[in-house]
Amino acid sequence: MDLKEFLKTNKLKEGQTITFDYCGNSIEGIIIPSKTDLNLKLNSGYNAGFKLNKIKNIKIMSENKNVGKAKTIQITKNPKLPTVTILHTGGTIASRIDYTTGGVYANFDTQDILTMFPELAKIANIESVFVSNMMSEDMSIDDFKKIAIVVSEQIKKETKGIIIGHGTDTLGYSAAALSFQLENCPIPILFVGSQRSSDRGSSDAGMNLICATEFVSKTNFKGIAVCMHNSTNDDDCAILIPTKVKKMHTSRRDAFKPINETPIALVNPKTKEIKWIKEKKEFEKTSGEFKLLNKFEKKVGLIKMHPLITEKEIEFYKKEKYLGLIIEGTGLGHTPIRENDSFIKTIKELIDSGCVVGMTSQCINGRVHPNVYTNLRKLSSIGVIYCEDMLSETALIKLSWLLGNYSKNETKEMLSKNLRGEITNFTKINTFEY
Amino acid sequence: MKKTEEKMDYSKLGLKCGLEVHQQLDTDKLFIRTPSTLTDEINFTIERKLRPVASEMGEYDKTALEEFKRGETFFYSGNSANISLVELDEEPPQPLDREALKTILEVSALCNSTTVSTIIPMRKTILDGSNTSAFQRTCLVSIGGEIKINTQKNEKKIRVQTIVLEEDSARPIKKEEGKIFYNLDRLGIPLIELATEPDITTPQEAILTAKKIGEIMRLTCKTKRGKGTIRQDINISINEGARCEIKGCQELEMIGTVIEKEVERQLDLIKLAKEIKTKFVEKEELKKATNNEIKNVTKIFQNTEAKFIKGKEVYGLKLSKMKGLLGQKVGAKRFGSELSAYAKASGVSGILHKDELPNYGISEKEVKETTNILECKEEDNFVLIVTNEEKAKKAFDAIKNRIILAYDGVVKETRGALEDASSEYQRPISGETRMYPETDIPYEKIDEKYLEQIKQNLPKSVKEREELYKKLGLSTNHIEEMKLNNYARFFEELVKKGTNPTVTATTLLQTLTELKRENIDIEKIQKKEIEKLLIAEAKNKINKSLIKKSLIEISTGKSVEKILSSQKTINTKEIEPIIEKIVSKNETLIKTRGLGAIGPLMSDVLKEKTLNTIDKKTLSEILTKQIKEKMKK
Repeated sequence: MDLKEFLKTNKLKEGQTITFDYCGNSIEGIIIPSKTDLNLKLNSGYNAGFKLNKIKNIKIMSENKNVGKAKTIQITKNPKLPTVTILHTGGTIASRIDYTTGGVYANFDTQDILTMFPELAKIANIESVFVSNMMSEDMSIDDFKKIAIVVSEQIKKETKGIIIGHGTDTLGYSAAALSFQLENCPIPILFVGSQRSSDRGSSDAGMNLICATEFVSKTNFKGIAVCMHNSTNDDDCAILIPTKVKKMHTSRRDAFKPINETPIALVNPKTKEIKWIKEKKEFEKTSGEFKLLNKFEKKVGLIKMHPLITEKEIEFYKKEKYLGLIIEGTGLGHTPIRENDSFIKTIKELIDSGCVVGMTSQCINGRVHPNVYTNLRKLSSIGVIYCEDMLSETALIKLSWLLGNYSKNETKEMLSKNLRGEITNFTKINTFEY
Repeated sequence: MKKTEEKMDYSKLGLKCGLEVHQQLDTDKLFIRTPSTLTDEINFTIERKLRPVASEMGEYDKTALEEFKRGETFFYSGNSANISLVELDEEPPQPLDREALKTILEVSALCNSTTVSTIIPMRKTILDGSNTSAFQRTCLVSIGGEIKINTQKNEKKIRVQTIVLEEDSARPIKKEEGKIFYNLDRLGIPLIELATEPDITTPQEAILTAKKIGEIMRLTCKTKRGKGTIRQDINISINEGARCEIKGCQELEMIGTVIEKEVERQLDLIKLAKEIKTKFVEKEELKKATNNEIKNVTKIFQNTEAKFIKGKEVYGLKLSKMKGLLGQKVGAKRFGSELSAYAKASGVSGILHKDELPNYGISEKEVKETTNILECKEEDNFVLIVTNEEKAKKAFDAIKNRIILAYDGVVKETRGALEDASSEYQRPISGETRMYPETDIPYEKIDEKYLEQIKQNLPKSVKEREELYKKLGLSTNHIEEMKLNNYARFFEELVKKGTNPTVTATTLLQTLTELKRENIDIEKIQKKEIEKLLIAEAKNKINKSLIKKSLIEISTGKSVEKILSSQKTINTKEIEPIIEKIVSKNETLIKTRGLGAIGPLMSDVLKEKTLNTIDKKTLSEILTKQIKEKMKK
């Protein structure tokens, strides 16, 4: 007998409290979801599964117990505090596991958030807005646009600042995308994620949110940034430039590192001190009116060069009529050349077909250069655009955004020019120290 | 022990005890592949904070909230050679250690316990910092079963409640104001937790049960040994009392005394409740008597002799009509000490009360002034706390709470065993709200065939081992040492394969220990190599006197085959003259005893250091040949 049949025959369903005999032992617990065995939450708090054919003398003790949401606390607003809006897009930052279904539900309701992190109420009056409940790895251009629209609506509502809860896997892409979409952003907007889910007492979510709320409430920062743990210690959070940040570790809480850059500032959650590392004034001004530019070109790709790469892989982009391609080259920005320059010729054919091709480096740290080697000169001479010290991921988003909002010629022009801090004028010596 | 049992009639008192035995396993860590060894050589420290989370039922655990309120910062140290990102809570756990699983299934079978068919790893919320993740991973493996003990009267069955496989916590190093320091080395070592039903009715039975559980665990040959590797918690209650859990009993013999002292403490609390009721008829009155204004009395102690107060903030609370109450005996201490422990749990270092003053450098005058400021009458009492206002308020709340609870007698609580076998309040008894599923580890289905296989290959009992080892000719010392040794099953396996029992026992019990003492890395000596070496010895391919030397060579990577073949290369021609010398020296013996001289001369031959590497059989053949030649002459 399978579990479904077993439940049906015995008139059982999830959430019921039942008792039965099991090999001479009396078992009592609540039925929880399972596939083959009958799984129970026992009175001791443990969950365990029991083989169906050994279960005897079942008795139903009580019907559904309310399983799921945490009790919430009510917090009244403090008129002396600024209002900070928290947007929920998905990820573990403000979500909880629903143990009845095993699924994740978003804790985007303001009271839910304040119940989990009551310290926030002492820093600001929290408003919350639900955008989506996406797994970070499923984020797409449409989501970038959606976030930008919700954000610009909030900007009009005169909130002090916005915190965007986001899954960490693609947080860097979304942050860069928002950074390009919002020209002259007038308020602080911080992307916050968590590497350890907020259903555990050691989660980094609380501290990241507290530091972000501090920074948003207490500074005149204008623009987009990322706020995450600065080290494995729970001592301070780093405020990072969104176009210059990369998830550099699969699991550590300090996974987000600035690349070819330093952090903007550090926030100490205990002392509330904000320590500026970059020039504060630079981040307190805008150079014009706020503008939303939220178009993207979808036919843009990113490809990594390696010894096994073939011309065929490049030909794909031409065949599929791609309008943009970022090549993550080796070293200073190389692709193979191959016999009779065949690889170079394939790239040239792609460019001639109308595709804008940009070059970044898989070294991650450092800057590409079109002139050092003969082979580099060959590439730049056919029209490959060298993207300076821009991250490959940022270059991809930027190229897609440029093609959506500007002409092809403008795109070519702007790809290697700094717009949102994605390219620095010179490589600083203190950005590659471990 | 006997004396006390005569003094107290435990059956009349309705004593009920349950034991929880925690035994560390000598396997890999439960969910981490770092070595499970302890070291004080630390080379990194990190800093963390923890916060409570609601359970899947949407409730916060009382213990967890109490721990969070203390607002402590935790410092974790370790040696980067032994500690991974998993211990730092920076990486998801690795799969369940198979050997630990096998061991707990054996323990379950030995106790006739029923193993569940799906093991579901859980997270038990712990916010005292002893786990970097703020939870302990724990798996319920078996339910029910029994332990048999022999009391002086008869055989008694103590029912098993549950058998659980869990991770040990980080090792506490030191505590400072607001800071707790841990070493991460112990975090993740597997523990088997065996909990009994409250079937134990005397202190003596508790000791016997703990002993028996320890023995069952050790039969598996997979338990760690030494201080701190086995810990007992005892649940104790008496009629009109309440269940108190006393944690962290490390010595077996201490268990009896812990129970005696707890019974005494509960009896005193029951008595105290009666006395309170004579003063305060309703609980509300008692509540009112604690509900006085907290006052800052720092001024009084500006020039005090008591160094621990001088220059610090002091707060006081009047306790109406409670004169003498805090000085009442409760167990080995006073009721004031119970209150003090509650205050400590809320984050202060202790309390002072009027019943014990003047004392500790506090003068009569200071006591009088305090009495005045707090507006205490003769029948009133007061409590002082040396700390800041915020902490003092928290601590006074805890004290008030505890006093009100005393109206009902004994309070259900978790207490920590102290060195003198008395105990101190730690935290409320934790509920099931502490537990939620560990989503990073898949469920473990227990295959029936695998269970059957384990039941067929269970370790021998102590009695069976004693009989077998005697039959194999082991000395009494070896039998005693081997029967609960981690090498016992390996020993039995080796002997079954044909090794010499005494040589095997000596090698495992003595030689390996000697090598360890001489700093030889015996972890590098594979069991297979030991087997090959001892079989070679049994077949006379190597002299037993060479076993130690060979083991050292094995530890450096040399194979047994190589060791054996290198002995064969020695030329018999080199051996002959040495033996000839011995034979010549003993011509008279040979003349009188003939071939009977082989025995005594062989022992001389074996003493020759240069012949160390030659196997016994070869030496015996050469010696016999030469003696025969001498006899011919």
